[in-house]
Amino acid sequence: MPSFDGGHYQLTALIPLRQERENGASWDWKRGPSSEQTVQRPGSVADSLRELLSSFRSVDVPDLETESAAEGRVARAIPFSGNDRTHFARLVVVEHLAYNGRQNGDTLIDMFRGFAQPWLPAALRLKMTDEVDHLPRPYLLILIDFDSPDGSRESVEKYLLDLWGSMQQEWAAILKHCHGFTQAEERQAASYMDLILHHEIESSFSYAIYPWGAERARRWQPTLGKFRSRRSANRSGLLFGYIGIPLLELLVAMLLIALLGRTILFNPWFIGLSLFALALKPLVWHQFLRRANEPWPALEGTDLRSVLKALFLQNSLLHMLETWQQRSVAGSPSLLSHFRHFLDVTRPHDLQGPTLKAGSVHHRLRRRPNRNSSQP
Amino acid sequence: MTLTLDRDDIQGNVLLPYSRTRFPIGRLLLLHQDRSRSSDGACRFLQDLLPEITSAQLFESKRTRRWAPIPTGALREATPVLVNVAFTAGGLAAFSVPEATLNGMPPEFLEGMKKRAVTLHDTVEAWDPIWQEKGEADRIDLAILLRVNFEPCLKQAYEQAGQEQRGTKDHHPPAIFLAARKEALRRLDEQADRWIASAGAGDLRVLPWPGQGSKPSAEADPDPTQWLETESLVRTRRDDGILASSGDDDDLRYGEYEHFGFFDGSADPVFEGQFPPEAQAEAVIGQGRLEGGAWQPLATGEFLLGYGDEAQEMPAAALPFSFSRNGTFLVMRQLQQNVADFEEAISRQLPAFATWLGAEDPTGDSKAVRQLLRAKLVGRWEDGTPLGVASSHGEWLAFQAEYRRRLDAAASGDEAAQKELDRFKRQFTDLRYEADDHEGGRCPLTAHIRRCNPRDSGDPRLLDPSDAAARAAAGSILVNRRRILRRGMTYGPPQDHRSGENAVRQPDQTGNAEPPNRPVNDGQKRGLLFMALCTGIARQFEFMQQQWLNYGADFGAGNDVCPISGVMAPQEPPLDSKLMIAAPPNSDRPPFVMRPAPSPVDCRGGAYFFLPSLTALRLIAQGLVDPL
Repeated sequence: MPSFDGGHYQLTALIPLRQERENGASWDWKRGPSSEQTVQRPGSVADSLRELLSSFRSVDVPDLETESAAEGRVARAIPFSGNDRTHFARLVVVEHLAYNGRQNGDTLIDMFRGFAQPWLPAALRLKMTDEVDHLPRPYLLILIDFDSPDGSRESVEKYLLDLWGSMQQEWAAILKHCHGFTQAEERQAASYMDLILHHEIESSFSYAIYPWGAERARRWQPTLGKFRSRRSANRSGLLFGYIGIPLLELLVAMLLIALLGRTILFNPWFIGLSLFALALKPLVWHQFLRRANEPWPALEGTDLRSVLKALFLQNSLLHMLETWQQRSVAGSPSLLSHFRHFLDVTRPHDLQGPTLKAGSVHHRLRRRPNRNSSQP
Repeated sequence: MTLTLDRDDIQGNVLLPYSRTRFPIGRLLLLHQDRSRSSDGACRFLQDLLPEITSAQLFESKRTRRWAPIPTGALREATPVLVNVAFTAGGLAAFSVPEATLNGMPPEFLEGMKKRAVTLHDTVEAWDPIWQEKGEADRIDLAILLRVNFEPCLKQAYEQAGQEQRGTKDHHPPAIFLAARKEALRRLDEQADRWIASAGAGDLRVLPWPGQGSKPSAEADPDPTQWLETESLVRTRRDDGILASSGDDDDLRYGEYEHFGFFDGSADPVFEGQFPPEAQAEAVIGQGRLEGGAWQPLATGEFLLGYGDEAQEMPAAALPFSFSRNGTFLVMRQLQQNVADFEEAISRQLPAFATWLGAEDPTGDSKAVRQLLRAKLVGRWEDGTPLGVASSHGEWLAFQAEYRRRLDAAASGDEAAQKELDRFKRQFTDLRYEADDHEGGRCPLTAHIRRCNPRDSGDPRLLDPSDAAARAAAGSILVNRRRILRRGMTYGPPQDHRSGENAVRQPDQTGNAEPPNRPVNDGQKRGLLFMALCTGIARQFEFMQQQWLNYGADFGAGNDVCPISGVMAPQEPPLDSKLMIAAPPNSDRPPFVMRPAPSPVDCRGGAYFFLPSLTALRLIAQGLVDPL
């Protein structure tokens, strides 16, 4: 299924931007030195949106110059960190299609086209200039990978609603730059959903799939589901579909002609069967495509909560090991008892238990360990 | 057709390193061209210097004499002092190299190391003033590198003492050695003074270095020097232990060791054309490109401009071709080594490490445990023996004994024994991590040598690391474009391990008293003048420093940095790096978590230079560089 694979939904949307100022709405996110004051500046909608997007925090290290100085102030959060299903999110303004320069034709064919120029239909004639494609207006490209149980429309809607709950302000500020977003505050949630879902496009590219990690985990615990690449199956399917089936048909036809003579071609049974086979082929092909489009099953432990828990466990285990390593030799608790304590505290199978907060890798994970930390 | 390089056109030290025992003392002079004057004087100076510059032609030496097909007469003697020159981007402009030529140089060279500090995690404010180039008049334009030939000095010292120089012995009586050193310094002084005077006449000013001596306080430097003196560390016969030739224990020689006490420079890339064809087959083992289980020389263009590189492209370089060809880029970094901090971190964790070793090393010999922990940080034992060859102290001793035996056998001049010895010595370089040590049970995955040159680790074609056959077939495809030629030299006095005798002895938790020779911070400036050659500074040197030494993600180690030469990105709060030391294969012990010293190596400055060919030097000196 497009846009859904391995338990992850790859939401991709292209939303057109506004082209003109509408009551200056796009600009009012820019705050002046006193936070109430808004700044009016000339500039395009696309640039305003770019500036807004780049003002969002994407890494959880504090802004060294401005924030660590302010004593006791928590670093501004990453907008998406309020949601524990988002693996990956990227918002980009797209203004241009890439232009790769004039397309080179085949010199020999072009020579003949040149000869035949006066008689050719307009579409085939040689042109002085290639056509260059443009976008009619800038677009906001939204790429989000998130955990979804089944990839259904309901699950996407539910996720978007959750996301709105945790970053309503940011989304409103972003979408104010987009064509068709409502001005009325009470209808913004619905407008946000409509806008994204209406402009969603299919994708088959996931940014947050962990087959490699899952495969490594499986080697430690073989009972976990095995990740199987379909590449070879797909390849052989394509080969069979494009070359195998026609070749087989040809062979059968030739065999029948050889065995039964040419009259077979006029036999109504033969004609009937051939027509039936022809009718069946698209069905078989459709079935093959359907199989190929089936999403991979969700791999155990690749949802964001499990990933966060795993990162948390990794760090806690290291901390436990270091504490044990620094023990005094005589009469100290064994590694086993350290481990028992580790299990008690971290509760490895409890995803609701102690874990890492989404989007805060640095601060929680990699603090300087206390060398004289107490024994368990 | 095999590639034959024009060795007379390439500057010396590029193809093969100047030996640190034969050419043990060097001087680095940095000069600035007075921009208020025309470049004519500077070009005249370069014209004068040109005939004295040492090329890459092979010298007569123990090593080259063995490359049989070279007629012995064809090898020339090394000159008393070797001279080489290199330019910064600003320096090329100061010598009136046209802008159209300069614009063809790679951006990282044009920017210079100072502007690349963020990439390299350098703190420019902490650099020595000479590298900071604060004002226009402090800009580094030209580097002159001198190296003295020690053999004639020794010969002279023996003659003056009325003694006969016995054979080709490495170690020499202290009186002779010191007299030879004095003579070497005199020769260097003579040359340096000569070139400084000549440069002055050509409107080139020598930039002052901070004093080399002890300067614990941050007061103004009363005795700046005109050069940075680099000198190989002196070793006694006693230091060399079992591998030393016979003689008196106090006899001295120059060694290839660096200040932390490790043999430096075991591995250096081997590329097409670098060695004479008959020597290449042996040299390439463990040093070239690993593909399909066999070692091949790397592409010349990785190290020399004007030749195809590993991507079968010409490395980016300026026009005209004659200006770039046979030239290369020189990365210079003054790396201060904090020996006391380095040893302190090891001492602190020694008891825990000894406990962790437990039954594996029951000797209770704290020196052996210390040596093992030091080896785990680097990936080699102090004498350069790889951990992959000897992973325990006992194995190391056995390896040394075997080495000694083969050295003795070869000393008799027996050809077969010599071949045996060559084969044995391959073990220093012929390492494959995927095949032999993919879990790091012998050499930790993030030890210094595995980071600098991961060899076959991380071959992207290796999909299933549990497949031993696939691991054995892994190649160095990911590493081939990230190699550098290392030409570093130590500077500063060696750390005096006896200076810590008065330090308070603190019994640790296991009851073992620390050995009395714990080094203390004596405020002396010592370290390594790191010099690396490559054609793509950003692709080769900077990538390696940033991705492999200053981060650990490529080795599955997150933000951990190299325990020897890595620097963490500045962060708030500061983070600690670690080195995970895996237990030996088939052991059920958990890994040991080592916390190395936060910055055992401090960069005190550096610059990017262009090391032109002799043709290019002539073009610059004559003002004939024409990009059209």
